[in-house]
Amino acid sequence: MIKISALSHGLGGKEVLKDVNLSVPEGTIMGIVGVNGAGKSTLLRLLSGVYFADEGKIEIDGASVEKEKTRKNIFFLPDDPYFTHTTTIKSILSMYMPHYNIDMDRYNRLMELFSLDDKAPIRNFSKGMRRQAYIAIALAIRPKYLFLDESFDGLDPLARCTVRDELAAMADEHGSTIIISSHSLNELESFCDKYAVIDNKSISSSGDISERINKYCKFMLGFANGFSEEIFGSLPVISIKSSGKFVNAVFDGEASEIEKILLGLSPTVIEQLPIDFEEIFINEVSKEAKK
Amino acid sequence: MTSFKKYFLYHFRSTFLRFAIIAILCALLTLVSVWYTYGNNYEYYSSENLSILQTIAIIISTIIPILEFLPFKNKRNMDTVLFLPLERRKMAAIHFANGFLHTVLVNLVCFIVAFFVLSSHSYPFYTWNLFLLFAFTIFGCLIIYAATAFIFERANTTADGIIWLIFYAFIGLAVFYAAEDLYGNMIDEVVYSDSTDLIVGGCLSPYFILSSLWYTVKARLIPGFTFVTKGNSVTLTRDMESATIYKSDITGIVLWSVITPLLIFGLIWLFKNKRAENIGSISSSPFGYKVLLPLLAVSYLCSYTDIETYVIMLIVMVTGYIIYRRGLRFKPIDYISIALGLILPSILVSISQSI
Repeated sequence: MIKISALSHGLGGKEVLKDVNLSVPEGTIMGIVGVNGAGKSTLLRLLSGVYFADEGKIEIDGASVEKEKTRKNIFFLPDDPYFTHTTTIKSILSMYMPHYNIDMDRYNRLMELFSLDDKAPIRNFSKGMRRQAYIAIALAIRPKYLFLDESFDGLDPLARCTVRDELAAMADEHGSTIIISSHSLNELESFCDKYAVIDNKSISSSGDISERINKYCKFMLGFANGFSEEIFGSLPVISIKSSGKFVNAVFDGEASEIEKILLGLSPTVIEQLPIDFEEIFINEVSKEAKK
Repeated sequence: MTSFKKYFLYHFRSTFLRFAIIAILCALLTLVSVWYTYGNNYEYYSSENLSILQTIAIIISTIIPILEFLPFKNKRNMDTVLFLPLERRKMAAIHFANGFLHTVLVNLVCFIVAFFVLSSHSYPFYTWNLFLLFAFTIFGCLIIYAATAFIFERANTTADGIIWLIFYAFIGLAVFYAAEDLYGNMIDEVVYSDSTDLIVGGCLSPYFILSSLWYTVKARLIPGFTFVTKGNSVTLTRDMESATIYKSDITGIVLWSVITPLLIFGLIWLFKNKRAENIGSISSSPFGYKVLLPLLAVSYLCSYTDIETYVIMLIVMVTGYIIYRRGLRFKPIDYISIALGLILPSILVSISQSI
């Protein structure tokens, strides 16, 4: 289990994270989301021991992340891993071999799956291929705690699918805890159990993704004689987008309850639409920005 | 096998190619230099012609620690290595040890080459004593290596690290000259002659210690290097070269024998709290610009009090702070340092003259 208590950290004299508190149960796949510069990468670096927190505590399985023994269970894949002009996948693997037990069968299978030559210099690989290479190594290591910083970026749809499946399998079979930061919220929604939103230097909300999505509902309404947005005044509206006589609105509440109230407004057309995590995130962050 | 040993082996293997290239280049250089020097009919056969070994020792002891700690000046690489389950102090110790091992081995290769070249000619040298010289050379290399590694590691960028090393190569001498001039003002005497003050002041620089060791040890412990005059016939004798051991040589060796372990300890100890997020940013270490710039100004202006030197030092300091702050955004403390650097020498000179 990961426990973050009162974590604060600054970069270049500027506070990036302030009083962050978060618990991540074992076996969870958690998505960390936030706008650019929110502190997602900083948080992952603090969790993996690359940075030492200015204030607060990070405990993994009850021990400080600064201890060697704790870090034996951690693997961190940064958003832009370093390589030289002679680096190959094999040389990267040999760097990790002294520290981790590597499942070579899994590694070889993934190399074949991704069609990667582990002896070729990775400077010649595309961005997506490099990502695949590093993810393959991370999966072959099967760490207890895996931290991925924007690891889906650059992957083609097929590779994304494969990586998602492999990560999910690793979490299921080995009970690995995976924390992944990404801008692709739909991606995270498809395979993360939990989420945490970093906004205004701290965790603005966190919890179960499906529970969060179910908390909201979205309707499309049409009014033959036009309408004014004031008619929604008494409702718990999160966002409204109107176009002529039609309006899409997101509400914070139980769908059936909201629908009853909306029917009272005598719309010509009313239809419930699916709502996704990205929409909720955008609406929540926009709401905070307006405050 | 522990993580420490495994990582050390991995790191040694991954830097072996670098070591091999350096060793081969240095060996070739030694071969050409020693063969050319002793292969011709020079008038003098002297151990001075082995100075290529000293030069290689100094250069290698400076370059290799920079190469060893260069990866830690790259932010992306820090992400890749610092999360590894290896305590940072152990990581620093491994890089230090690996680089020094390379330094020793490169020097050993060069000495072996020199040994074989000298042995293949009928010179009146006690060639086996070369390895005694090697032992003392390695001691001198350790001093340079430790000093270079410590200073370079303190910087947040490669450029800052190299600039600081250049400063440190000369700052000891500058401080010595200033102290000598201030003391000379007080007693109205020349403290040292021109020829000796370089040696005395040089003992404050790690590079001069190797030269001191070479000069004293080579002449005293390696008899058989002779002077030969070529006239109608070649006369060889097995006379010992004369050498003067200065008290300052001994003082310098003792001083650096104490400083070096502290530098090694400091390098490893301070690495634990290294902030990866500062890599690439301004280097604010107290071992860097903050101290070097004012110290340089004070040292020179205590010795040279003419207006031209003041102007030059002002330009040097301002340029130095521009490099430090990467622009003209000086902080109040920078202005204070510049002012102190220019005003303090006048005060010190006045005090020393009035005593």
